[in-house]
Amino acid sequence: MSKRDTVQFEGHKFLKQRLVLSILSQRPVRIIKIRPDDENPGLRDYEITLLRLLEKATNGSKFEISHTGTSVLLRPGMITGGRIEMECPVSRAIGYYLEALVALAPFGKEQMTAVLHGITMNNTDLSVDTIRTATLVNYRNFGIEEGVELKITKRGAPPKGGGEVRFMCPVVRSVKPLNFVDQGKIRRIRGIAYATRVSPQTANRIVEAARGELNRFIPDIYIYTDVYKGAESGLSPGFGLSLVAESTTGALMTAELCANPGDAPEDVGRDAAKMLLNEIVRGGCFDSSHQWMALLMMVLGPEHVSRTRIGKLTPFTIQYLRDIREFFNITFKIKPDPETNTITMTCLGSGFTNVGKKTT
Amino acid sequence: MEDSDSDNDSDDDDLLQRVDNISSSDEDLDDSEADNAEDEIVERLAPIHLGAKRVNLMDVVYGDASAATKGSSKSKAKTSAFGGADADDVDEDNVKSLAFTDDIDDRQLYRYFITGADRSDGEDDE
Repeated sequence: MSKRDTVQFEGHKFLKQRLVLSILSQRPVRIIKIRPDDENPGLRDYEITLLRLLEKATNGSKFEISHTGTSVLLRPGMITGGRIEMECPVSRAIGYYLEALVALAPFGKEQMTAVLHGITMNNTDLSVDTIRTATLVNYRNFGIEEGVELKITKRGAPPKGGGEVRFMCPVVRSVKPLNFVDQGKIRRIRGIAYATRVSPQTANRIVEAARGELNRFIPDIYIYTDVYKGAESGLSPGFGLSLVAESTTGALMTAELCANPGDAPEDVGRDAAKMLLNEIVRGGCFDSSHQWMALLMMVLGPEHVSRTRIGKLTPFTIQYLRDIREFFNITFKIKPDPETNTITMTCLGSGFTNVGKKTT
Repeated sequence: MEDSDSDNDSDDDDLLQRVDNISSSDEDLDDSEADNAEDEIVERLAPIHLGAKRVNLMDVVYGDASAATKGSSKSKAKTSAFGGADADDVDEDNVKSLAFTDDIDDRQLYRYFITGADRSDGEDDE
């Protein structure tokens, strides 16, 4: 099979990861049967926006969408980076688009500065807080540290949004191989309780409830309250909590919860804390939300063996592993560790080099 | 597997009989047949337990991807070994989990957290 053979998939699921993997592997992808039997067949507004975003982030990419929108062909171009500004529809949070940029931005031609407008947190996608405090921090495991920044200039709660974030990421020529198997023990917990267009006391009530759950395990807990008012608070009221537990070896476990209409702040705080505890029990050096990132960066690493430990594979990760094999022809060695109920993942990197980065 | 003590030659009837045997209580069954049925179930389920020696996660993830994406019952059973739903159950491509269980024992949790004795720098909590 030649390297440029088109990879074909069916269905709308995992669309984002397949498009991203296509760009990184430089292999065209055709996705067919996108909601063909749906009342409203074809791509959704957020998927169209994602395609637009990928078009802006790359140069030379060609997207072919069928008349009905039920099939997409992407012939990937080079990742350029640079300045991108995008109005994101409120059907998905900004995190949906940021995840794609997080995977692509380090391998662009120039530093990426993306300004995205929309919803900053919901219960479907990663919130911008988790991306700032965990996803981008996880970059450091792969040698990407200087110049990574995510600034939340406005918060935007669902349904109307109105938030704004600025994401900056430097470019690298290659990422470091990973050897991270010691998950360590949790040494501290940090969090952000945010509230927009509601009483400032809401954030304090969330913090109290979360601390009530977590304090019996560890004393080193600090949950910031982040209350937005006026123009910075977006168009809708909302509140939620994002938690990060850090281990002695630098592993980050995250959990977050955004309030649905009618939810009490105490419930949000308590449930988010329980979700964090569940994530900690799951174990591993990367939490369930960041398994994909670790695996992707391992694949994009140099031709050395990369190794890490993760907790139970999520369905998303299982599919991610299959898609990685499709695009990069790389199979992970998966070794369970029954003692800790974790899994050691090992692979040989693809030797990916960012040829677009200028060498000075 | 053959059903030795059934007089009915029809395969369908055999199958129905076996299903009845599996789902009914012990009192309705010949002991040996019940044991066989139980053994078969255990044999089939054993590999899906993570701790079992025979589990091969490589097969689970990569083994039969086409069957898995089509959502065959076999692949669903296998992926449930990971503690998550089957990949087909994920409606969208979100990575965030909102699930949690209250069943975690506090004592089980304590071992994941650093304690005063773990601190090498002498910063005891006490």
